[in-house]
Amino acid sequence: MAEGNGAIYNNFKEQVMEGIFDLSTGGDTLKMILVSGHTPNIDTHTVYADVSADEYGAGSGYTVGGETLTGQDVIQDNTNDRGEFDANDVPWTSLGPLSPATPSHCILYDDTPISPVAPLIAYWELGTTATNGGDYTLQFGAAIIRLT
Amino acid sequence: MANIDEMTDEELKEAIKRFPTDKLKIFRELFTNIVREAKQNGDERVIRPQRQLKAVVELINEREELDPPTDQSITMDSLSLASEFNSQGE
Repeated sequence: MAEGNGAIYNNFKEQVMEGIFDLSTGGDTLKMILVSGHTPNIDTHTVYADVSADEYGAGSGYTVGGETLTGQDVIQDNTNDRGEFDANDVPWTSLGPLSPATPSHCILYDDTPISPVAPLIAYWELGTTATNGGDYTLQFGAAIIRLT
Repeated sequence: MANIDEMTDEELKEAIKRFPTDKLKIFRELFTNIVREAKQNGDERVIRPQRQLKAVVELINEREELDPPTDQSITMDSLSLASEFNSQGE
């Protein structure tokens, strides 16, 4: 995978149909974390606790638990016959350099559900762009997740 | 190299100059936390870390003036969940 490529956790695919997630405006609190030296596993990683050991510690502009997404929304796209979940890009201000300076992945999770606690949604590969003390922004494409 | 506690400010600064900037920034973070916690605990030994912190911060600031941090932006793919169904309901 290259930087920017991602995958959806299998547990999310199941639980999205069990009503665990509310990704709509005013719904759940969604967060993005940065991890280093991480090996994603969409089969066995299901909640934040499964990946938090690889998250950066507090400091240098990073807050443990990640950045809260803003502007989240879910729409019905009749032109393309799909549903779309989207949100604003995720910015970290004056981030780093973290140690190691280059995060290996970013991971999106839902911080609202209590059963299960903080289930994972998706991850994206990083690994190329280093933090250097400037702003660090993850830019989503036209949508974060599409259900086609 | 002399023990860090026995160094003069100038010796300390010269020693610190040999470290890469990313490591210096980690030290700055560590020293900041040490000073904050020591103050909260009323630890008189905070005076020494404060002097070291000042030397580190001064050096980092000098370097950042020469090589300011740049903003980074990463474009991420949209992810798809595909729904498949049999139109005849089988």
